[in-house]
Amino acid sequence: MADIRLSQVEKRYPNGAHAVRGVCVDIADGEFVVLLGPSGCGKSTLLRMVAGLEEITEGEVAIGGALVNDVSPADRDIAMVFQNYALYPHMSVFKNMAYGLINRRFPKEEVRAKVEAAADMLQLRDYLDRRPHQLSGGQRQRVAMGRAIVREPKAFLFDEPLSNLDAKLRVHMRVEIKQLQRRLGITALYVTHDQVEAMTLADRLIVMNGGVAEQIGTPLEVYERPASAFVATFIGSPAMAMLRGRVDGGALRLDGQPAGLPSGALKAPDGPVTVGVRPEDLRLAEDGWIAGRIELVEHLGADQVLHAALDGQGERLIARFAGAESLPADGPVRLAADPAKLHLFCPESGRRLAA
Amino acid sequence: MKRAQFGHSPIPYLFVGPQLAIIVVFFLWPAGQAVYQSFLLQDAFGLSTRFVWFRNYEDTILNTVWLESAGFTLLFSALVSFFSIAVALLLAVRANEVIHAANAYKTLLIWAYAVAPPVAGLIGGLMFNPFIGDLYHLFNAAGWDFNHTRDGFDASFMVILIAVWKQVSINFIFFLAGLQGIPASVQEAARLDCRSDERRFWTITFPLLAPTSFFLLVINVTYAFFETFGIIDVTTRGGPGGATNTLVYKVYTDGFLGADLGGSSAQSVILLLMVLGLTVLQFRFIERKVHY
Repeated sequence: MADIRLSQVEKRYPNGAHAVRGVCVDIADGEFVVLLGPSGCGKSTLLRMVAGLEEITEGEVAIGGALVNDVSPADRDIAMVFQNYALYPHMSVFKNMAYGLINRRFPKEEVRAKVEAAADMLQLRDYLDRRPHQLSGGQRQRVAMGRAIVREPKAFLFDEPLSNLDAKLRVHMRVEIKQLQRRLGITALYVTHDQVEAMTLADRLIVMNGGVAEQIGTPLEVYERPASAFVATFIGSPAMAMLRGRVDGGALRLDGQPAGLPSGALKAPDGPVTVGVRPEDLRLAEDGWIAGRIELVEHLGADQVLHAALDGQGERLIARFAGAESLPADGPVRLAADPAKLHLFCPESGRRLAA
Repeated sequence: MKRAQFGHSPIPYLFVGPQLAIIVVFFLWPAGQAVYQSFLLQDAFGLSTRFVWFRNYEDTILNTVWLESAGFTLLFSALVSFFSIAVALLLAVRANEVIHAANAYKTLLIWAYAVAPPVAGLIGGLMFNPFIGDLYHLFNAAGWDFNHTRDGFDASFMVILIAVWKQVSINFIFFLAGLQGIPASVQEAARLDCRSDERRFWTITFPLLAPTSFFLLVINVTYAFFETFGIIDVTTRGGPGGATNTLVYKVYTDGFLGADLGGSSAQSVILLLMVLGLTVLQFRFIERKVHY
C-alpha cells in the first residue's frame, strides 16, 4: 500500500514518437485513478512506465516514496492485470497465482494459504487444478485478478482489463473490481477507453490526449467543468454539442445574430469562442437562440434523443429530453440553454475560458 | 455425433494421385525391394541367388564392426541433436532480444539453411584441410594435436561440428517462430512475477517452447541418422578406421561399394526399425510432458 508520484514523466521512442509529454500526478494511498483517453493517447504507455515495462525517458516515478525509475518490474512490488489476461497457459490456476509468490521465496504453506484465500474471494476454489484454456473469459479474468491480489502489492495496475468481456460480464466485473479494491485498500491505476467504466470506477480521472494529461480531477469535476474542448466532447454520451460564436460585451452572438442571452451573462473576454452545451442541458423553446432542423428523433423509453442540423453552421447537435412528449420527426426546431450551463472554449487552443 | 455425408467426386483422387504415385515408386517399392533383398544371399557377380531367411540379419547383428558403427551412430545422433537444438535455442533467445539491426542478425543466422549437407561437408572439409584449413591450423596452434585423418576422436569431433553447424540454422528458424508465438503480455506478466531472467526462461519460455523443441527433437534425430550421410561421404568417408562410420554410411559402403546387397538390405531394414522405434519412444515418453 503506497502512493504513486509521477513528476514530469516523458516518453520518447527511438523512432521519434513522443508518446507521453510531461505528466505530473500524485496518486494518494488507496486511491483509484483511471487513465482515460482515445487509442494512441499514451495512457497504456504511461501505465507500462509505472509497471517498469517501458523505460522512462525523462521525469520521475516514485512508488511509496521510493524512486523506481531504475528498479526492475519484479522489485517494484506492483501487480498488473493485462487486457488479454496474460495467464501462463502451461500452468494450472493454482500455479498461475502462486508463481509470483514462489519466486519471492514464500514458504509453501503460506503460498497455499494465500492462493486459497484469494481463490475463495474470487470464487475460484473449484477451478484451482484447471488450466487457463479450460476456463471461460470471466473466470480467466478472475484468475488474472487473483494473481494480482495474492501478492498484496503496493499498487494494482490495470490495462483495459474488461475490454475482452461481453457487455453484461463487463458490468459485473467492474463492480467486483471496485469492491475488491475498496476492501483491500490498495492503490489502483486503471487504463480504459470506456468512459462509463472510467466514470464509475474512478476516484479521480486523468483524461489524456496526444500524450498530455488534459485534465485531472474527480469524474464529476471533469464532467461539469471540462478543462478543454477535447475533454468536453470525449466525456459524456451523447457528446456535447459545439457551436461557433463570438462574445461581444459579455453577450453571445451566433452567426452574427445576438443569441438573446442577457448582456453580461458570459464572463469571457470579447472574441471568437466555441460554445459547448451538454445534450441534457438543452430544452425546447419557441424563442430559443439555437435554430436548426430536426434530422432524427430516437425514442429510448426514458428519454428521447434529438439530432438536429444547425442553421448556418453546418454543425450538428444532439439534445436529450426526459419523458416521452411527442416531438415532430422533422421540421425546424428552436432550442435554448441556461447560460450558466454553457461551456466556453478558446477556438484555437481548445482550453476552457473562464466561465 | 453423426457427420454429414456428401456424394463423393473422383476429382480429389486425381489431385492425390501424383503424390501417391511418387510415394509408391520412390518409397514403397524400393523399401519392399530392400526387405525382399534382405532375405537373399548373392554371390559377388550376381550370378546366383539363394533365399536364406534371417541369415543376413544374424550376420549383421553379430558383427562387431556393425555393433561399433551402431554405437557410434547413437552417440553421434545424440550429440548432434542435443547441440544443434541447444545452440539454436540459445541463438534464437538472444536474437529475439536484439532490437537494433535484428533482421540482419536473423538473416545471417538463417543463411546456413540454404547449404546442402554435401556442400556443408565440402566447406567443413576445406576448413579442416591439413594444408589450407584455418580450423585445422587454429586447433594445432592452440596446442591441440589435431589430425582428423589419423585420430578417430578428432574425426568424430569434426563431423559432429559440421553436422551441428548445418542444422543449427533450421532449428533457429523454428525456435524464433516459437518465441514470437509466445504472447508479449505473458512475458511481461512473468517479468512482474519473477526477477531472475534465467529462472523466467526455464519456468515460462522453455515450457511454452516445448512443442517446438519436441518437433525439432524428432526432426533432428532423423537428420542425424540419415541426412548426415552427405557430410561424412565428403569429409571422412567413415574413417579413420571406421571411427565415423555411421549406420547409413555403412549401408552404402557395404551395398554399393562392397556389393553385398543382401547384407546391406538387412542393415537398412534394421536402421529403419531403429529410427522408427526411437520416434515411437519419443512420442510415448517425451510428448506427454509437452503441453500444446
